Amino acid sequence: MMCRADARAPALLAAAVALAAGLAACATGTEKDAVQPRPELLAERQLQTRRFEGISEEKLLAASVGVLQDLGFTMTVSNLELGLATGVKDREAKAPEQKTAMIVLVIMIAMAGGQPPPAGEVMKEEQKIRVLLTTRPLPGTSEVCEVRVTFHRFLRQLFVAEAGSLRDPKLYEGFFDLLSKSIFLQAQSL
Amino acid sequence: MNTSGIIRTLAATAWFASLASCQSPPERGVLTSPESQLKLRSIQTRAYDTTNRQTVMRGVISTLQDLEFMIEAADAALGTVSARKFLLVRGMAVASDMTMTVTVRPRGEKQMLVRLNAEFNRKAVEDPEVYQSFFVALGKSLFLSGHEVD
Repeated sequence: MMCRADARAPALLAAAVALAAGLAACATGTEKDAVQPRPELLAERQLQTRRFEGISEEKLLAASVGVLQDLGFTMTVSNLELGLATGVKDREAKAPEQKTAMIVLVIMIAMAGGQPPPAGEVMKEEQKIRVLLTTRPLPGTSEVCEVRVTFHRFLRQLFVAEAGSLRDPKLYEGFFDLLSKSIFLQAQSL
Repeated sequence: MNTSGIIRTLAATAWFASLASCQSPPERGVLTSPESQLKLRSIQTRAYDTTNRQTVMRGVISTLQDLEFMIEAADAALGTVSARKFLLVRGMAVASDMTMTVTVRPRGEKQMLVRLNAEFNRKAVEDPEVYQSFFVALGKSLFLSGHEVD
């Protein structure tokens, strides 16, 4: 007959491996990493930037903020003199694979003889999307301006934290499509 | 007292000791700064040959955007920008973060002085390489070289 301690061993081992993997992943973020530009910076900057002709910086910034409002962002900083706007938005429910991972972890803790956290704590999460948008008139021109937008995600759950820029090209293309339409409608005074 | 009783007593003592260590007066830390403050200030500061404060501030914001920071506050009149970056982590629920405060102010009649204060996980960054990396990136954004100042 297998004693209780033996039954727990595989679950404990699995939990230890998961913990070690998590800690190893955390070790990648140092203060020097924080100020190193990514090798893909130029390509990403191109993706994040659009040039618009026949529009002042003020109107471009206003139209951009309007699009962000349409997308449900709450604006936190806006400054025309610096060509700057930032906003934040609470993200919707977590992805199914994240929920599955949480359930597996709770089962592992229970199998290891530990006290699983209350369901409310397990599902508690902080997920925010932040946006940083900057505009600038091109040197020597009055009505040719560039706008650059970057989206960042911050996720905090019971066992997991993730943070970083969102890099899907479709996200940026979609934003600029909306901005182009907004500027067109603005020009038509619709 | 049996063994389990001793262990329980030790655990309780350790718990109370850890609580007591949290009870530091709230004012402690307000006026403390790293010992080599003058040296650190020199590392944190560069002078740029331009008189256009707005251009330098826009360069600072652009550099922070390149480095994937989020701007948390900006004041064009005072010349201050604050930003934060959560590092890309996938693991335990404790994210590392870096906060930066950058000030831009005139120096004489021909230069702008840029000072950067960085904190990593709420501790002042004293590694010169961190500041050097930022100023190299800022120099590229401004098309200007920063001068060290005493």
